[in-house]
Amino acid sequence: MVNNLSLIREMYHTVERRVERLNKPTLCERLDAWLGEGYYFWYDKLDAHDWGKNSKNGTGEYEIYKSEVDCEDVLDTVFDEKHYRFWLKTIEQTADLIRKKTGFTPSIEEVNEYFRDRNIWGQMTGIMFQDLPANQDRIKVKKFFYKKRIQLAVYEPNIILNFEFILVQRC
Amino acid sequence: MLDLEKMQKELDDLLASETKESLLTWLRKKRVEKYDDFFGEGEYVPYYGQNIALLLEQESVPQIVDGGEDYRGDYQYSKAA
Repeated sequence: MVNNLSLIREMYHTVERRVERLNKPTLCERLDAWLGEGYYFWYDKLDAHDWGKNSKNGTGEYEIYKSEVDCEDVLDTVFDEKHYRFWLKTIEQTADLIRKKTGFTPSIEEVNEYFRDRNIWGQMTGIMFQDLPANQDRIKVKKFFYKKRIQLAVYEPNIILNFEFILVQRC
Repeated sequence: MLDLEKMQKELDDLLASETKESLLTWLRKKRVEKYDDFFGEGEYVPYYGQNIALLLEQESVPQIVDGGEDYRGDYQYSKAA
């Protein structure tokens, strides 16, 4: 019980401001989404703001929602070393095979979509992933971007335990 | 809790079953979907129809960024030339 509770994380979902408030997160179906089709969340509220300002600015304002997400069966490539090594190995193993068999190098989106399209890993409810932000305003030293920018792609919406509007802001 | 050994075996079995044809079919479909997603299905048929074979000759599909304003047409122009 304690273990399970410790894997519930509070995360943030950013959208363009709409006419009506959302009562559930929006499904990202873009084919260039890094981790494939899913419900995308930010680990850090500051990254949720950056995403709103830079990418969800079509209506001039963005909204941020907050959810608790049960990460028990999420592949956690950020904080879990075994998961990270598994992720690294399987991405490279798959990319190598696609390149060897076809002669074409796949993108990271294509490798992730390959896992989904081939319907494996049904027990995995999402992937947590990081890159490094390049926003000088977010760091307290010069040049080195030491903060992880962490995203969660949720594939099974039933692990999103709640969904709450927290703010609207001008871009 | 995820069973990583089981997941690895699932992947090993899957990859062992793939052939060049099965992977090419999947990759072609994926890249056509991506172009449709960006351009809108059918809107770029005159160019695309003539160059369908070239779509797969790319090492990877062109980078398409949010909103599409920074779409780089390197593929079209370099291949067309």
